[in-house]
Amino acid sequence: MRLTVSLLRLWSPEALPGAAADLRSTSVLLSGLARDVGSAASSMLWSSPAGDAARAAAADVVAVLRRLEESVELQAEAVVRAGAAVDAAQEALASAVRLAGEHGLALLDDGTVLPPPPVLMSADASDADRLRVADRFEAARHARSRAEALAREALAAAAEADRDAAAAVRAGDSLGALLAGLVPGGAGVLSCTLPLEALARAERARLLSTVDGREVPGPETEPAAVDAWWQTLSADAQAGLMAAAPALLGNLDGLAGHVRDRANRARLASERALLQAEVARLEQRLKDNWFGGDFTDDDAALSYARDKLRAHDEIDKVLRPPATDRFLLVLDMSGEQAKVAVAVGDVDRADHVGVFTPGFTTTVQDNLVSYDRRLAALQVQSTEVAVREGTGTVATVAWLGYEAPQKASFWRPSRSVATDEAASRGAVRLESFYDGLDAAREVPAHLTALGHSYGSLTTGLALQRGTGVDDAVFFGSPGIGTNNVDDLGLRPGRVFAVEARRDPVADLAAFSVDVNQMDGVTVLSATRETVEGVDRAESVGHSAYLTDRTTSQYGLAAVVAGASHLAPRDSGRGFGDVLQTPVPWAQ
Amino acid sequence: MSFRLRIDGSSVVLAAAAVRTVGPRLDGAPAGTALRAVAAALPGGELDGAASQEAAEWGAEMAELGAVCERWARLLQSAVEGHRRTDAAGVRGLQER
Repeated sequence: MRLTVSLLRLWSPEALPGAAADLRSTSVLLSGLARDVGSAASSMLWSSPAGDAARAAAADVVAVLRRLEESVELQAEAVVRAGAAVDAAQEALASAVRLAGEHGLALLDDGTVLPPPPVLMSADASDADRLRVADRFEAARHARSRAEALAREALAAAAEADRDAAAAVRAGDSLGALLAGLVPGGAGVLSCTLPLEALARAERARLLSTVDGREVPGPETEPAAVDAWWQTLSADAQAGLMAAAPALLGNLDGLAGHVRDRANRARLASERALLQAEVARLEQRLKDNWFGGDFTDDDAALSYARDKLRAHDEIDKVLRPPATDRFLLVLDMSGEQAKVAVAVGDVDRADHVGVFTPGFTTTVQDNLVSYDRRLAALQVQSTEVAVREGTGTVATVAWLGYEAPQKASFWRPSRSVATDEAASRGAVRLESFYDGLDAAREVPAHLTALGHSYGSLTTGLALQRGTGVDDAVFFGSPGIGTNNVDDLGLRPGRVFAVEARRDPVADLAAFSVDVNQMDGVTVLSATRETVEGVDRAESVGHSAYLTDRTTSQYGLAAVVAGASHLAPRDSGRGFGDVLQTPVPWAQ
Repeated sequence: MSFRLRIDGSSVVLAAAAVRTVGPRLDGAPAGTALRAVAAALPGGELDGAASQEAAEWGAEMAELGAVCERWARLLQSAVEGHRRTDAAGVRGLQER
């Protein structure tokens, strides 16, 4: 079709940069996929003709993905160039239209500007009038040729940009040709069928192969079984797995912390790229949908994906230098909220490990950095105690490994802070996490569970499933899911509670009787105290228990360090406790 | 006993698992949508036709490539299974002897 003035005026080049950005997201995705396939194939420990054929097949797929990536990138560039060129062409056309209008000239659809009409003058017109009209006619004649040139140039430039961009987009047609080499019967990837099958038949009778026939454990596998499986693999096989599929290792409870950390860090870039592509896809879908996300929930999905990208920013902040002692033990972007656990210190070797579980409204994107800072301060404080007492080394973990209830989900029973459903789901994961820490070590650590707010319910429910936890501290707790401390499976005297002044949540007793009223619970102080000659501040309200240099922080640090006898005691009985004092028949 | 074929089943199973995740992520829809947006922005031109045509083909072609990856992953898996059976048969043979 020949480009016309009216058609060019209809074009909307301002939409092209956005489309180019979407193409670039696809290009990033393809790049990640090519990398994944390449590293999976290169890590295969398989030396035989079949192994070579399998690797060659992988190389074919990688080559296709790379060429696709290149092709899409070129498309994106061409679309950007076309946008700029069409923009300039429309400006030139607008100038032509303006110029023609100023001189009363008609601009036709093909870019032609009609000449000015002849001017008839009466015979008695003065010389001055004749001169003025002649000047005006001459100016119009010049304007006509200028406007026509501008219009024709604009049409030619736009048509050329259009042709160039179309050629670049059509270059993607090679996709079909690329795929033709890969489909059954083609010369590409499926050619590996023959070596594989022929080899199996021909050598079956005379080969005893060293096959490690064990499946990679799934997320439901018992941590002890995960550890046993990992120990059976050779160092080469372990390295191969790490390179091929870090996603299968990073969240596997029972693997050592340094293995999980390496696997999860290796996934950060590709996880981010996937989320960026998801955001771009959903934004486009919403742009194309008159009803927004009313019928598709695309708007909610977009919000979750954006939150997860923000979570990635926060993870980067926590892991980047100067912090050198952080371990990324959980990285899970499934579900509605990001789930992460970050250790301060070496959980594989520390003598004492404290795992902190937060509660209501906690998210990775909003809270990881501040919890990491507090857990780092707790680790320092706890290490001071441990060094003084000669009890060894300490690591702490901020475990944001479950989807804590949010304000917006109050009316969704399965996710509401008013029910124990979110905590119950979290407890399954938390129990496995606790067990995994122990399973990955030759000698289990002295393990302390630290539960705050709704997180103390999650902690309490996890402990009731049976764990290797040695001590538990509940602070600002609305209840722990049982009225009987024995249900937690800890030895007598190993359960502690802290309740600060003006912490109404700690008196809610929503999920059990008030914890600091329970038999068998040792109540620690949150008031101002002088401990070991150092003045410690009071914690006031619901969110100050971990504040540095407070009595409550010191108490938590002492328990984590295996020196609970140093934690200052307190009755913890305020006005709310008097109201909450349990009556015998309520227990 | 000779060990002529060295194959670490776990690494191959993992490679198969990794390749199997590629197919579902090969979603041609976003690129197709972007190209349709290009076509809509410049109606009537050559790019319009080219982008429209490309957009229509993206989804199907990506699905085809995904299927190739899926098939390749199955082949890897079956290779390992085959060698497991070989291993078991060999051990049985030795015991019978």
